[in-house]
Amino acid sequence: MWNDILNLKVALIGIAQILILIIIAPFINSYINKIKSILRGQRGRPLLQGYKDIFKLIRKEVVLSEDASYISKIAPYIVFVSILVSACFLPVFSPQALLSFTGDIIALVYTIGLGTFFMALYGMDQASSFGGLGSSRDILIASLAEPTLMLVIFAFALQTKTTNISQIFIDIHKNGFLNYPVSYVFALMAFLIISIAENGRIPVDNPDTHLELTMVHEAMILEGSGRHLALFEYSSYLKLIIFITLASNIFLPIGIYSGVSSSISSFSFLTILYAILFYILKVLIFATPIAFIEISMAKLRFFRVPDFLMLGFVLSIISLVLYSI
Amino acid sequence: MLNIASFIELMGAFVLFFAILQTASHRVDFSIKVYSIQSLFLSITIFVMGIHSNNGELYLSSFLTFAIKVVAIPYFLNKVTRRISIREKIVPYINMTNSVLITGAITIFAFFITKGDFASHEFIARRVFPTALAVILIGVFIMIARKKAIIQIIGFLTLDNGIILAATSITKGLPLVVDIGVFFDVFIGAIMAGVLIYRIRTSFDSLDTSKMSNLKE
Amino acid sequence: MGQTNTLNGAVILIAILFLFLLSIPFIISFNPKLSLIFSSVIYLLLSVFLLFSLLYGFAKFPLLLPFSAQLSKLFGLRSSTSDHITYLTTIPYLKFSYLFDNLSLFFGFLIAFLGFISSLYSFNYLYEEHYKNKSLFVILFNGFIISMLFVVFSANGLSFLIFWEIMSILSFFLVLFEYEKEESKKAANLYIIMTHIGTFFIFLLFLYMFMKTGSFSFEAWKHLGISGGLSVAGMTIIFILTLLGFGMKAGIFPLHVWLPKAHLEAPSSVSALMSGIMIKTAIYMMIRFYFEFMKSYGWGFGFTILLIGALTLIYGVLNAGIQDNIKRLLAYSSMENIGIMLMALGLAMIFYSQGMYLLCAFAMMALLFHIMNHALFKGLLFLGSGAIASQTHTKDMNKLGGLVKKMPAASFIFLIGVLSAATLPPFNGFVSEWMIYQSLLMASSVNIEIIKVFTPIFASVMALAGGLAALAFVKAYGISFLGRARSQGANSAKEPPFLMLVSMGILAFLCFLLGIFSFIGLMPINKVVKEITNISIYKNIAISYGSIVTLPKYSLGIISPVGLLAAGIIFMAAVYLFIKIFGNMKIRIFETFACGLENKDVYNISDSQISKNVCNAGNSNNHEGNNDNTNNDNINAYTKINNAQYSSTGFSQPLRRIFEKMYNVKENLINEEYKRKYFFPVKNYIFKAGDLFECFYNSFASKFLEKISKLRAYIQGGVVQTYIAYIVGTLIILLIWVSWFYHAG
Repeated sequence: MWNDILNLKVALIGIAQILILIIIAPFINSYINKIKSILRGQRGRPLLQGYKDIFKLIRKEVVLSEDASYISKIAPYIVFVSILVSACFLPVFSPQALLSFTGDIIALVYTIGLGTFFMALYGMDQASSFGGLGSSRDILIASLAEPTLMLVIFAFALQTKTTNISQIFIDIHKNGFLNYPVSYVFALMAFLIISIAENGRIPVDNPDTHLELTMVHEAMILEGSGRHLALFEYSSYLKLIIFITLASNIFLPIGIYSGVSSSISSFSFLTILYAILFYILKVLIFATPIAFIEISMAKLRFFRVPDFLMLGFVLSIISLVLYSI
Repeated sequence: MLNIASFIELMGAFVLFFAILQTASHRVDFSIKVYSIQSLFLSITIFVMGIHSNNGELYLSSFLTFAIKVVAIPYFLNKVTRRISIREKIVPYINMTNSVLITGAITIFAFFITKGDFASHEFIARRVFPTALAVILIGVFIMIARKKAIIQIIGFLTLDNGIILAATSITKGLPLVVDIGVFFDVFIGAIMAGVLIYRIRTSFDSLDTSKMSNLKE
Repeated sequence: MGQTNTLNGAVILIAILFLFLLSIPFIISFNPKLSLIFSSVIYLLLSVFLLFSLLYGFAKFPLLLPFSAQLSKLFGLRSSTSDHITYLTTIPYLKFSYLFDNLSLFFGFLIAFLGFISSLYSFNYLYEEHYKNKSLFVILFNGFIISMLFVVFSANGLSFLIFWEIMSILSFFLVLFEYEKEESKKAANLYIIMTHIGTFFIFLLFLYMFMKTGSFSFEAWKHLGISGGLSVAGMTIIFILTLLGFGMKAGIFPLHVWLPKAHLEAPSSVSALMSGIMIKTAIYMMIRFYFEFMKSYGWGFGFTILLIGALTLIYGVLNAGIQDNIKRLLAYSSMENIGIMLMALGLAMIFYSQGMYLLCAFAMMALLFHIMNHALFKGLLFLGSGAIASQTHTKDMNKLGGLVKKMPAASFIFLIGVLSAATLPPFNGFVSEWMIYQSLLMASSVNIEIIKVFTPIFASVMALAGGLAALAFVKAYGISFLGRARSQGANSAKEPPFLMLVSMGILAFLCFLLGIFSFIGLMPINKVVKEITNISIYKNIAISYGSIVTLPKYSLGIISPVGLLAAGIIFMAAVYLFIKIFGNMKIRIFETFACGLENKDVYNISDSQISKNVCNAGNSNNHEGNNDNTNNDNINAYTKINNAQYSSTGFSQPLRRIFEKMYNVKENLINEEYKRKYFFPVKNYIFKAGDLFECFYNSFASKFLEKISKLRAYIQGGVVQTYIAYIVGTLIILLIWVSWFYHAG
């Protein structure tokens, strides 16, 4: 494992994985929106709209509040980079993640936490009343979702006896998670619930509105504009794709690379291409239910959200205990 | 990787999941929907058990489950709720957060208590029976913890689903006569309960069973 | 270990030298500045010395050999064969003996180092806060630090108790330092009462140990542990007494009531010491008892500690989230960290009882590392809160805000402290928390079902606490530093003086350094762990200079903070370049959108405008306390605009509502209709966050005291004859007892 780090091919695969994540992140968001629109009977935004938005925002100038401090200037970068770094821990289509030696799955949660922390600070920096509202709600939801996320993670970690994501990936692909089907179902459902909560999707937060009573995530970045807003938007796309990738690789452990040992010299360009396509297919499969949930549910009242998260928490505890006994 | 026994257990797990979701539901129509999906998974479970044990009677049982529990009873309950226009929310004795926690404890308890039993039994009984027991207990819990009569009926139906799951998992299929009898029983029970709800509603203006203690006087 | 007499002589000599040096600040205390500078230099020297003696043993200091023998005779010191120094007195059993093993050296180092930092800080802080008795402060302050040093170096139960009491009483005086304030008196009274209840249990504990061994010396107690002379019942008694006695000082879950009050009222450099190290002397004694004086106990003890730790953790962090006073918030966060430490301690005990020494060593390492990290970042945060309080004259976050522009350097340093305390990478809190997570996961290899089931649940409790701690610290930083000033005091704040910044800066630098190159901190800790468990795991943990892995045997995961930081920097540069090339780097400054209302910063508009809009804005803000909003009439419309930002109370409202039952919160909305007849009534929102258990204890104590006072009135009736009767009665009882005693003898 240690010798592999310096291996050029491994590094290339790692870079390819992170590039894939970066490239398809806006697409997945547009895809979910498209499905939602179609289900509503609308035509919907084009699938490439995410990229256009980002580019347009980058080219615009930043309007900064006169009350803003250096926090507002660095927070967008820190948020984006922390999400990017945690994306580097993830095996996407092959176990050779770019930074698998620097962080395990606990570090992933805490690195994402760093981003949340700075985003909350950004919300409070412009002395507007919306920002504080958003920060207060968002960080509360994130902290209530964190135990569930940890429990789901520990369910895998205990089964595979490692917290290293690449190792979990290899082990799950080799043995499957279905040795404990009840655990599996409950972990999957708990993971679905926290993915929704962490990414601010509909029963918890509505990413499309700017209504002060209901908005959580959008309230924090209400003052953001130009490249800062672009970075925030991109990091929320990336966060979603991180959760979907985790889910698709752990709960659907089938793929071209499954069951193959970590010696990658035997792989040709074509197999890698197939693996990538297969990965994208899996991501689309896992992104579709999110669209269906969003279309069929109403946003919960803010003080109903803890009930929703409590359901996830109980499911994850059951999943873990059933594994342990 | 995905052998048929695992698949049975997986489907059983979904039955349990929807039982837990039942305790977290805030609205009556959502509860009915959840019940219907749960029954769907139950019928799939029974069907796959039929394939597994090569028992033709189980196919019929699965079909009956589908026809009665997925289609007929939810349709009937929906009709009742629409007719008496239950607009109120589910009123619990124990609030949602706590009841979800209690449900979790019940599930873990069910798995703990059946851990040692059935060690000698064959795979399906050993792995599916704890799930079924949990579903039964959760059904009882719903009946205890909710005030509205209609939710108590749904609790009873959940319990019944658990019993059927338990029975099929242990015995590899009851005799057909018993099966049909049970289904008929449940169906009639549900209809009678629905009629009763209608009567309760018209004479008390509410479905809150705690108000029925007024009858004592 | 295995040191000769002469080497011990050197130790004694150095000890005497330092004793002499340490007395100097007392002598020159008439000049506080000089005294503080001197003491900070001494503490720095002492901490360096202690660190080196921890790392390399005492053998590195052979220079002083020739003098040692004579000097030791001169001072009546006697060195024993081990690394103890004993000073005999004429009172039986009362021996002052000191030991310098790695554990006490480690804690001594932390005390001396924090002493150095806080005396450096006090140099300016005393004058910023305008305390009256500066000389008195210096005497108490130095006495406090030195008594803590003696506490951790004591090797005898009685001398330990004496210094423990001195430490408690000096810290009591320091809490009471602003004795004019009513809150100070209340806090100090509560503190002294509770800490004495704790001391009572410690005294019982030591008496029990004395009964078992016939000696107060720690060495004899250690023999008791090794020989296995304790029954299960005896160990249970010891366990409960240690929990009650030391738990009171550490502030574990139901015994924490004194902690937030005392930390709030003490001067900030003292609260940094109290939170940074004083409450951890209790953990130090717990380690001594559970790993040296007691052996071969069941897993139940460890599990109890783990459970108490989890409760302390969650209770502390939930309360930290809703506080409006920044120092109270930090105090509750200290409670949370004590919970984390207890969890690590409990895990180490579980592994120890199961004979899994490798894992025990790992959990122990996590524990000691977290103690070190917490001392650094909580010291930093308390010092920072002192800087805020001294510049703005308030600790109430609802009156702060906008400080990031007034004190940029201090705000940056505070940000680092906040990030470490929220256990985020790449700072030190994250590394120790990660190690504790790993220990929790590895507990699944213990073959006991209850532990297998519960440890992941405890881990999720820790995750929840981590998230809520982030909430508390976002609030602490966001409300007090960002946005706009909410009062005149916050608006007129300036950068704190140089030495305050330097002392905080050193801590911030160390937080960062230990977060990136954790092996620097783990190296001395490894020595301590090796002494306790006889296993050296440093080589297994810190490989490739800074990467941390768990033990190869249980290899669960790897983190490398260096790699994280490097990746972060590279990505940061890439993103910046990308935007620079393809995007637009322009920035336009404009006022914040306020839904179309006029939006001006009250405190930054011209004087003429202020005079036009009558009245003294922020007049009400000169008062301390949470509920002092009586002057609301004077606040003009502009102040309301500045207060339209989210307040600290508002920020924690969702949390308060979700965990309603965990709090004792009083909320009142009072309409003052009579003051303004024809306008909307002025509404005063009064909010007070108390502690649930304080309320509980108060009602209990008041009932108890009532009964006692009735009894007292009965006994002490005020009639002279009764008192004479008491004297005679006592005399008769004594006579009977003596005569019986002698006849029996």
